[in-house]
This record gives sequence, structure tokens and C-alpha cells, in this order.
Amino acid sequence: MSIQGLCIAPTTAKALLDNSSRLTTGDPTLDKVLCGGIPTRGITELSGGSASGKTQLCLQLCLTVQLPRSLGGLAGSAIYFSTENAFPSRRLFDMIDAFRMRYAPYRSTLWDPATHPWGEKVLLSHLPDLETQEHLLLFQLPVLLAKQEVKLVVIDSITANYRSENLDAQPQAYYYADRLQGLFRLAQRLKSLSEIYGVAIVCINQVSDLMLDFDHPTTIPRPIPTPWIHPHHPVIQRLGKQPALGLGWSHCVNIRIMLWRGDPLLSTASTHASSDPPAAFQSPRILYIIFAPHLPSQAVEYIIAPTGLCGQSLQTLDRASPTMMLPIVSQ
Amino acid sequence: MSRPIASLNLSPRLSDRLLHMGYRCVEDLKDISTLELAQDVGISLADAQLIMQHIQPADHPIVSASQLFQKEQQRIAIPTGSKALDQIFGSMGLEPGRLYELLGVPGVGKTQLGMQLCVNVQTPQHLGGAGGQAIFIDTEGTFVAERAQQMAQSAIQRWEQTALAQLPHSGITPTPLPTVEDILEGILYLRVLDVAELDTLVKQLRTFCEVHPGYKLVVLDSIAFPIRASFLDKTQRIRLLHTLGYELHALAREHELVVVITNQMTTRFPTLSSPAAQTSGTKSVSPALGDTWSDICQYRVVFYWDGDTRYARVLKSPFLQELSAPFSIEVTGIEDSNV
Repeated sequence: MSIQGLCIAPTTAKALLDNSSRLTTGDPTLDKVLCGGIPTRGITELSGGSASGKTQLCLQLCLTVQLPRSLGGLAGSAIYFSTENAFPSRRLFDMIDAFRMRYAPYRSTLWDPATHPWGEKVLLSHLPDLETQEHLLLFQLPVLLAKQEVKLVVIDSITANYRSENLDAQPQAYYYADRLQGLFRLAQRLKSLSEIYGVAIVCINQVSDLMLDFDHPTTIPRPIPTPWIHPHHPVIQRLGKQPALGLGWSHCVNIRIMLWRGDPLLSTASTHASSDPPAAFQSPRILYIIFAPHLPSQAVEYIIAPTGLCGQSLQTLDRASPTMMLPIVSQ
Repeated sequence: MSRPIASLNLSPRLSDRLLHMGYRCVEDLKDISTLELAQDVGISLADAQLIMQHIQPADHPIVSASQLFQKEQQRIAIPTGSKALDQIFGSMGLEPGRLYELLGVPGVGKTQLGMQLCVNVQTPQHLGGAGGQAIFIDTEGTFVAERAQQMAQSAIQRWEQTALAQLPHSGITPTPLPTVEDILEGILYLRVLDVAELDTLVKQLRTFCEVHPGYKLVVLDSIAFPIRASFLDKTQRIRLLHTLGYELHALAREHELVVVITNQMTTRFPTLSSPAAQTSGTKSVSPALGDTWSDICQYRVVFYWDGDTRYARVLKSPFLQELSAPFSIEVTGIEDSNV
């Protein structure tokens, strides 16, 4: 059947399936949760509180993207845009050492810094303010992707420059409307780039406390009890933390992943009664798939190992288990 | 008496072309199809349609309400997979000839239903399905073929059971069921990158579906994203929404297919028009694209969370009450909720 008369070259779901690719996280448990890894189409959002492991996971991806396709990588390099924090180069090189050890048995060239300069293939760029951020991502990134074999774009974080903008300048609603349009435009450009060049896009997002704003009945009487349309997924409602940038941005991301870390002070107090030495203790960390078109809601415990995030036990968040699985938010 | 081509109100380019190819009068065009005309004269299908519109007397038959009702009764609806959810869209699912709008916050299941319908529309005719194919217009990059594959696998298992149940009564040899590959081949995927592409594409769909009558479903997921990301000012945006609405309505009506559009939700800030809300300063969640768009769609359904359960609710429908129904999304696809 010839397909003519459309402005867009059509394809079928079958062809899409045959060409689908993923970027491995390097960890079998996490890959299982993510159905192979980070897709190379669309925006993957990674949010979580401070020290939950967002940057760790991104560094890890900057290295796995360099692996040959036979090992789940994309045989390309990564570009890392940082905003508020300086790039943790020391941690990256520790991780590179761990990666050398791990992958040398599979491919000897991955061992030798001369044949595989891991660090050379992580490109860095700093986005000091919103103007630079928009300019670099909208106009310079496309040129870079066209020229170089970049297969992963990390933005750490998408939020910081929006949050540090001056709010007093104009009325809140107008400010948010402008910000939203900027975010949509950025998301559209990033998605197009990922579509054209087969690049995985990972955006780190900060979290904010879930305000009870939406839980209060609105002044317009509703026929059914409030909250009727809650803007957040039940998992987020339970965690009490929401990814920043609001509902508009939530619509822009294809996959939303949240990292949660137990309060290190609290957990040491409760579980440290046993004989574990303090140095060996890590506060519990859980990765949640909040939504993704191809993944069920799942949670997996992880630790931070020399090679980055390392999944422990996988649990499905079906109707029965979430209360057991999720920490109950204290008010 | 024959009417000369030159008397038609066509552009000089088209009438010259027709005369050049040997068409002298309107009667010469009587017995050929639009497609044949386009091929024979070497013009685009749209031009050929334009010519046909000029020569055909306006065909607007008057039907009675009962005739229309009977005709609507015979249409084969596309089931969602959940009986309760089917009730929200009609009685048996989404009915051909209609334009549906799906609303909901991210992750609540709009795209899931879109993908599920792309599979369910392909239920073979001998099992009571529409036996059609689907067009999925993706503006957000959310369509994941692996998920469609999962849904197709479980759909085939369901069809096998239905076919087995029919078998002892009919006594005829079973018709082979489509394979997973067939189903995935039956979903035409169009990735729209911006609002200009969306505008052009939607205007081409009516002609496209005329040439390819096998398509019984068009999913547009979502209409909001490219529009919200565009530089259009308010007037341009309203005009575009009206055009898109008109084209999609016409597409559903003329080709008797189901059109499903997904839309996003937005945070509504208190405004001057609702002073009460302004004083309390409460935000609420409402459909994106504004009031203009809410007038365009006749059938609006919103998906939302209540606790851990997904619900669908009729926001606007000419014949349904404001019902709510729970549904659930499993690995196998959309199903009835067991709460």
C-alpha cells in the first residue's frame, strides 16, 4: 500500500518496534525496571531531593552511553549541562575506574585509557542563567548534535535557572504563563532533537514540598467531593514531594522517575541500634517510576555503588502494596 | 445539452490542464473517480477533488431523525477494554462518526487508551469488531511500540477465546486471526514535531482517509502540546483551534471513523472574573486550550485519580449524564477496575 498525500513521512508501529533502542543504566535490576534502559526518544525526567542520587545516575549514563551497542550502550558521547552545581569531575573519574574494571572482560579496548578515553567523551557546558540556558539548548545544541556523535544530553538541572529568576518583576500569573511557554518551547525542541538524532534526553528536576493548596475545596462548589482532579499521581501524593515546575512541565516529560532517600538522621537513629558500623550504613533509597507510557508504576530499592546506582529489590506498586511500600508522609 | 469545462469556476491552470488532456465538457467527467482523474490529468488529489466538487450537484440529502438513529445503531463501536469505561463513551465504546476529547493530568492513562483503541479497532469483523486500521498522530513522542505490542498480544488471546466460544455453534472453519505483527503494521504512526506540521497534516487527513478507507480510527495525542509550545498569539490560536476542530469533525463524520483527541490539564489561577477565588487565592486544575476549545468538542471525558484508582468522568456529552466510572490499566491493557 503506498502512503501518499501526507506532509509527514508515515511509519508503522511495527517499524517503530524494530528500530527502538535503549540506553542501558549498566545495572541489570534498574534496566529491568526501565524495560531495557532510558529510551532514545523523548524526555526522561529524573527528580528527587538533594543527595538522592540524581547526579550519580546521570554520570553513570554518561559512561554507559559510550559502551558499544552490543553491551547496551549507544557508542556515542555525552553532553552534560550543569547549572547550580559545579560538575563533579572527581566522582566521574572514580566511576570511570570502576567502569574500566567492570567492562574490561567484555571488551579489552574499554580498559586502556589510550584506546578508550572515557573522560574525553563527556562534554561539559555550564548554564549560568536562564538566557544562556535557552540560547544554548535551543540554538547551539542542535548544531552540536548535527556535528558530533553525541547520544546523551543531560541537563542538571532544568529547574535551577527558572527558580532563581526574579519573581517580583511582574504579577505571578503572567510570570508563570511566560515561564510555561518557555518550558514548552524548550521541551518541543529537545523532543524534536531526540527524534531526529536518536539521542536520549535526561532532565534533572528538583522537588518541592507538596502544598495542600489543591486539597482544599475550591470556592466553586463541586458535585463530588474534593479533591476531584488532583494534579498529582497517588505516589507523589504519598511521598509529599512533587517535582518542581508545575503541571505544565509535567505534561512535557515522557517518563517521570523519582528518587527518594530516607532521612539519614532519622534512619540512623532507628536502625543503627544494631551493630552496623556507621561507616557502612546507607540511608534507604528508592527509585519510583511515576509514569511512563510503557512501564507500570514500580519501585526499586537501590544503593550507590562505585559504578553508580545499583538496584536491590523490585516491587510492583499495585493497588495493595503502595501503602506498605511507600513511606507515609508525616504532616 | 453539454456544459463546457470553461464555464466552471476553476482556476485557469486547472481548466487549461483539463482541456489539454481532452476533457471538453462536464459530461466527460461523469464516470470517473477523483483518483482516476488526478492520475489521468496529472494533478494533485486535492485539485481533482476541487474539480469534482464543481461538477457535482450539491449532495445534501434530507433524512429523518429515525433514519439517522437507525444508521447510528448499526455502527460498530470500538470497545475500550473496560465495560464501565465503555459506558462513559456511549454504550459499547467509542462510536464512529464522533470526535472525542480525552482530558487528564500526566500519567493518568490518556495515551494508554489511545494505544489500546489502536489495537481494539482491529478486532476482526467475524468476532464483531470493526476490523479497521488506526492512525496515531503523536505530537509528544509518547507512543511506545513495545507497549502496543504488549496490548496486541493480550488482545489476540482475548480474540482466541471469543473465537473458541463461537466455534461449536457455527461449525465453520475458524478464520485466521491477525498476528501481533499484523496489528502493529495496522497502526500508522505519524510523528508531528510542531504546530505547522500539525496544521498541514490535519488538513490532509480527509483526502488521505478517502483514498485509504481501511482506517477506522484517528488518535491525536495531544492537541495541546504543539499549540502550547507555539508562538501563536491569541487570535491565531483561536483560529487554528477552530480550523482543527472543523477538519477533525468533518473527518469523523464523512468517513464514519472515530477521532480521539487528547488534551492536557492546566493550573487555573484566580482571575478577575472569579473574585471569590481571587480572595481565597486557590488554584484549580482545568482543561488546557481555554474556553474556545471547550465549545468545539461535543464529547469530553476527563480521567482522574481518586486515591489509587483511575476514574473517567463525562464532562460534556449530548446524551450522557455526568457519570463517573473506575477503570484500571494492567500489563494486558485497559480493563475493568475491581474496586
